[in-house]
Amino acid sequence: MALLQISEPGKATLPHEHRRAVGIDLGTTNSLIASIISSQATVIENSDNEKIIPSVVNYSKNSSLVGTSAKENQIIDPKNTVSSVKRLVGKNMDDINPKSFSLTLKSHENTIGIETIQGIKTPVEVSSEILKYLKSLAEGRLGGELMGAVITVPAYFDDAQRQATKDAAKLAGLNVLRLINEPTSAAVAYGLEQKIEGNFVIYDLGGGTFDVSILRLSKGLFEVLSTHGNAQLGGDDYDQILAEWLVKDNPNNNEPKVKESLLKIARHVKESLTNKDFIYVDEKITNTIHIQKKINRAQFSQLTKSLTEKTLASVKQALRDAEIDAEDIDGIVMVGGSTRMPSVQESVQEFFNQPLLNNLNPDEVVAIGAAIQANILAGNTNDDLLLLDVIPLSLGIETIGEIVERIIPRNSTLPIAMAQEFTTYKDGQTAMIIHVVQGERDLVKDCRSLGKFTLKGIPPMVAGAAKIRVTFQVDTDGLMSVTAKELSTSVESSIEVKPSYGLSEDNIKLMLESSYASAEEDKESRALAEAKTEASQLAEMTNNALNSDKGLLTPNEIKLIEEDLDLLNKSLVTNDRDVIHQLTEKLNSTSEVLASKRMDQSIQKALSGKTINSLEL
Amino acid sequence: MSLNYYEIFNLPAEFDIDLKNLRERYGEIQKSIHPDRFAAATKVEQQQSLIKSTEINEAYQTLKNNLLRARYLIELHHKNEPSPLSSEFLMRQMEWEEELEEIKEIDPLIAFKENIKMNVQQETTRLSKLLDQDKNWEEAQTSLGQLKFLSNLLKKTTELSYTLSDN
Repeated sequence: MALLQISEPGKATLPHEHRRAVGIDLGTTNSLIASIISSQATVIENSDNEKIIPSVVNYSKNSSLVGTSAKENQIIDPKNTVSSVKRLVGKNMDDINPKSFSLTLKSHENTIGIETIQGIKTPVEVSSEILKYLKSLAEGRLGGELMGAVITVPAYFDDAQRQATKDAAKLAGLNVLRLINEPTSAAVAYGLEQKIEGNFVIYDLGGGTFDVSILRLSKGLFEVLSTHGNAQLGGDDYDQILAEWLVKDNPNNNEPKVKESLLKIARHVKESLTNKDFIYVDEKITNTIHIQKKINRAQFSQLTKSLTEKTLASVKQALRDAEIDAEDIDGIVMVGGSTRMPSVQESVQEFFNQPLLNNLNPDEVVAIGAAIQANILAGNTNDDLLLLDVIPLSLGIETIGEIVERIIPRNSTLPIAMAQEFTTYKDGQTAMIIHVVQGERDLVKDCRSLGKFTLKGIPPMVAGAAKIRVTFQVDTDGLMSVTAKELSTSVESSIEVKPSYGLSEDNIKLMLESSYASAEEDKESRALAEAKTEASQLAEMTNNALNSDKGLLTPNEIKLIEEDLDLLNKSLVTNDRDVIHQLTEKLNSTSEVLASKRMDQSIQKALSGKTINSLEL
Repeated sequence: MSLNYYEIFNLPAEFDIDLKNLRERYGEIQKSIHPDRFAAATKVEQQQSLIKSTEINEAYQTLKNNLLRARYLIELHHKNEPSPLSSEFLMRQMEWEEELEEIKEIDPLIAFKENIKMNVQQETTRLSKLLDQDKNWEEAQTSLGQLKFLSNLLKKTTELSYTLSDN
């Protein structure tokens, strides 16, 4: 990891300390990476002057290709060419239709395995290949290692999909500053926060997913009110319908090669109809399949009407969740290449009865927004813009009768935590399993199972005597964590919580280590360097915080922190990784009180000048 | 944090609060402590920021919602269990529910919805007076129970109107 330069949070660094931060739009079909270069949000090109990198990875025996060169292998080597991997990320075999992929897929640990010439690859690994490629583009352009990245995800991504995306980034050696929702990112790109207060709709139709979000904006505050969408609906589905129509009367169109060529033609037809009123198709695919058909805009629009209507049904639901009428919307932002389709534009415009905001390149707008956000998070600017996002799907737990009890309702502002109390039903019971699901339906089988959390180490008592408080916390990335505490005894946080889904920390570590492919001592020195970096950062920042806010602490608290600070500083010269690590943890724990009181102080400062009665501002 | 939700936002502990003002204060606080402000900070600070930001969200969600705010305000002053709703109100409850069950067309549904909306407004006004002027927590609890029922009924009605207009 790069040596991070860190100043006091909330304060911008000096210009020469500009940190290399990027925004990544990791799309189903294409991916982009952008950064603020000379004060301008810029999408970074590869050496072939391409900004839009196909999200395709081709594996050969000893190497792998990413992007256009990988895509070129799609037809000749479909088994080893992975495209649309985003549709597999964070899923298992039960969630997908394997027939819609030209790959050999099978269940692998808690996820899906893709059989390639290089062995089994998980969707996380494939995604990380794409991220690695993008990372190296940016490092080349920006001239050094990246401090961090903001990665966009569809608003409708569930916990497992978000976690998998973050894991892929980790595996690619990226420090994830934040996962943000694609629609929110687009709103940032449009600089809507500089406009007057208002309600905005972000309509995002990409290659593989549809998302809609309702945002309320005012004074640098982006408040997501609701979000809805369909993770299985995008421009690709328009291609699919068109492809089927093109060879309606021909039976031999299910061979992978034929399918591939058909989709390519369909895509071309769709794109051409953006500027033309009609197009004549004359293509020979095989000796038996020769397409000669004319299609006009109205026909295409009619063919795909049901898809566009599905998106509008999501829009309606999002408006209802936000408790806002279509008339109260002040602007509609169109995002995603698929919103270029005239039929889509017309339908949305008609629905809201007002012109659309679509002057930014819909392919780039998400990456641009992410770059702006990354720049803010890295502390490169004084911009006080803040995104307040929501959880897209309700979280619940399984109760008796396979009924879902909702714990965190959808569209709750993040971060959020909810606690629930459980008890044992058998004498001497020391463990229990909590099944967490995500979704809006009442039955467990109709929701997405996130996995089971096993609580271990409950002190043995008679049935019903133990009182276990389980806290479900969802952070600003939309990722859930579960902690548990036994309340009737003084056993605190000794209850171990283990999720059953996704990759474990150890697993990731292992994958990371093997990817370094370096000698033992290299690994050791790398680990030592990382421990030292972390320790000296902590020491420096604690020292700064202590100097500016000593007044918040009791003499004893100050003494404890100073002692641990001193020990940690001394340990830095020992080169003993374990000792450094232990002392870092120790200072982390003693300085908690300082961090907490500084936070309270910030809250008070935020409202300073606002008296109890200053109701009208 | 030992401050109550009103103290966090430095607002008077009343039912009738200025929601725009609340939202502004909420924004100011989140801008200073939200985890996005600590993306490059130490783990301890990130953890503390997550905890505080979560608390502020909870406080804001409670105060911005009429029903939750009333319940919170009552709990600050009065710890007793609420008394059951009057038999008179229970009768009206049943009548309303039966009436809604009969409705199959959009026009009578809209009329019904307007009626319930009016009832929600009246009950809110009554609750506001009980809390802010009379400080009659006992009676406010009963009023809150009625308002909860009415709000749920309004929600059900609204959902039904969506189903009817979608078909």
